[in-house]
Amino acid sequence: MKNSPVYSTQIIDKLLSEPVYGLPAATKQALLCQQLNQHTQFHKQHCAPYRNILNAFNVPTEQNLKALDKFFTLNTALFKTADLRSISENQIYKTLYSSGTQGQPSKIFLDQYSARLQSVALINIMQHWLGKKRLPMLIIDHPGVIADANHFSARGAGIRGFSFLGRNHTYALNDDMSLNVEAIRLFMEKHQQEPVLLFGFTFMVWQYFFQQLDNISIHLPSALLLHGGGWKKLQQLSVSNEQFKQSAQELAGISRVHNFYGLVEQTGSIYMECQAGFLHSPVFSEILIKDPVNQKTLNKGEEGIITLLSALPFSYPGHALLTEDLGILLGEDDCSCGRKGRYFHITGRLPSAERRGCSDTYEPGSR
Amino acid sequence: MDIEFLTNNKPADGFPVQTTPTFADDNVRFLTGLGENLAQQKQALPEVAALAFWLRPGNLKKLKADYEQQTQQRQAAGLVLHIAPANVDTLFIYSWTLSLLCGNTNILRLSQKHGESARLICQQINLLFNNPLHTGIKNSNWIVSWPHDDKITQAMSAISDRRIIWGGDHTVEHITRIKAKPCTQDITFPDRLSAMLIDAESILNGEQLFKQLTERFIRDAFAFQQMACTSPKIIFWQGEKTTCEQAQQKFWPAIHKHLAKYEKAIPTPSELYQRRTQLQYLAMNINCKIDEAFAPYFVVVNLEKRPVNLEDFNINLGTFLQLNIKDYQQGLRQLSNKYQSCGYWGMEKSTLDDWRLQQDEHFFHRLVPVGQMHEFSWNWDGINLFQALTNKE
Repeated sequence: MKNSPVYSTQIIDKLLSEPVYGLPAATKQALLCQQLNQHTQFHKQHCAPYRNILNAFNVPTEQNLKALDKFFTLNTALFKTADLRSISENQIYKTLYSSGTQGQPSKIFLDQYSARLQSVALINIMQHWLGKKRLPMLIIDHPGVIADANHFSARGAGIRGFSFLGRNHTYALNDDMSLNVEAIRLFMEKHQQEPVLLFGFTFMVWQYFFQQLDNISIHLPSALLLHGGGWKKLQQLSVSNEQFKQSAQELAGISRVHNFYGLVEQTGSIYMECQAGFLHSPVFSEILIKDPVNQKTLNKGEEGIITLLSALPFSYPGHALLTEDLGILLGEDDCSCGRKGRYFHITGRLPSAERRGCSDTYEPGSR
Repeated sequence: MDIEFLTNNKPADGFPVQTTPTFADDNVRFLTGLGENLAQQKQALPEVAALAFWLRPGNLKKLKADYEQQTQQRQAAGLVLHIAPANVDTLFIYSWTLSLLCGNTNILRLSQKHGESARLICQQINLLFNNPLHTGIKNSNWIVSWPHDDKITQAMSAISDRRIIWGGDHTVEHITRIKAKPCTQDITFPDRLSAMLIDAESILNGEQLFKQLTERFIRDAFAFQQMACTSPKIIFWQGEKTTCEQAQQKFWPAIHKHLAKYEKAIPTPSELYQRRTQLQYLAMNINCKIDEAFAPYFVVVNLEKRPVNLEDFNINLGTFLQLNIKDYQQGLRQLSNKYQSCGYWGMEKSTLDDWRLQQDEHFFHRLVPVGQMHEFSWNWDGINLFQALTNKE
């Protein structure tokens, strides 16, 4: 049993007790700012690299910020370059890794409390969309994806993270990525009349599920398909969200399709797509859009870089992050789906900079 | 083989070696022609104009004079393989010029990430290759590219008498591990960074000189997105504390004002994000204060004490570290042999050279006035390239 630091959890407990999309803007902002101020102080005290950054950037010592856009953000890319944590090594309970597409992955260190908190937060969100009961779960991936318990890719981490939402976990693919037709058939037979949950990464669902459904007939009208992980590959294939949903309907009879957005650097804070097609902030996190050139906070309708603020990161300074994703804020508290809170679109990603440093002629690790 | 030819002279069969005498007229004529063509390209980046200027007849004559000062008779080494860096688009021509003047046959491998300047230069070379006067050069010099593929690199190395490897530690380590001929000699250029030394007092008076400084500083500091080995990453201000502060208060706003006229001077959003990540990484590890008053054009990083291991950090895209020092000795002594060059302003070269000669340790390789930091020379990183690219007769 590993000891966690002594945390003050009043505010996060309050936030978690509220309906996940039910708090109006002013109330939410006040609570969130309080928690974020607390995080800044705590991480400054317990994470020397973070403290050094705040000092170097002249971030004022006494923090009692009332506006969300005033919080100093760390670039998410920083987590690839160094171990950032506010807990001691023997308090580390779990380490999460992003998928390192370019060089090093991000490393996120959780103590027991933080790990549990993330699960609680995720359950809070998902119960809003799925109901309180655990649903039979068909995972659109192959069993090997979570094989290595200690060190796995973002896909593995995502699947593990979402697995506890469901039961009777069944993998739809074989290890060679072909459809496990038998397993799928069994799953359908067993859960014919009840609501089920399908889960997978967006590209996997498109390429290895939809594209292979020609020969078998699947009908899952009570299913909810939850998918995430980015649209980059589908954009390259010129497949839109509408097309994706259409395929779900036509090929599998699935009408409830929900995209989600989330980062491993802020696991637990995921942004779910509503029936109107917009991503929603849950009560314990918020998004802001910043101008990519002058860092000013942008208004509704203006495309910029997504800043994510989250009440959840207790064990590492991940509560205010500047991502490499681009997006547009669409509104607050007034979505046609009825949910309160901010809702937004993701429009793309910052292309990776040319990085033509001296030693880029041959990258390390190239053949 | 997956080799892409960037000029229109793909050979029929292999790469025939055809050396010439050193400083042969044909070669000088070709290079002069290239310089003239490039000087006409008004749309090109400043680095192309700088290259054109370097290829002018006067400078080629000077190179010849410098060469003839070497006492021994030399002859071409044979076939030289150049591995050009990704960060300085025009470097392959400097490398080629010296090697061509040494009489060698050349294969120039450009990075797959080469930019618009390289493309433009190859276009101009193609035009020259159409002239029958340059057939000899056309048949013994090739500009190519290939993806990271050790098999190809090995095949090319196996026919090379020299490999001149630009591109920093990783590249050098990687290529030198690939076998060449037993007699092949490698000329290598590992990671380097550069610094600048400015006398604070000298910029407080003399408006004409100050204007000159700002122009020349911009030329040195912002070329190649501050990513070249000759790009200054740290500035030492010589003088008393208040003098230094006054100088900085005058200097940086003037630089900013000058840059603010050019939209192209603002890094792209991706670059700005990268710069911010690099700054945060630097801040984690080095005691400093970051001044973002001149963002997005550039950022100034104030140091209190001497920087260690600056070479371990990515400092570029308009990031300038600065430190006040009492006298130049204090500054120069901090530059290890990881430093390529030091630009100076407001002091006498002779004073600085005298000091250098008196030192036991080997400090940085090159001392030049601000404005000339990217000027190429046959004496580079302590290597005499004329000697390295030739054999004794």
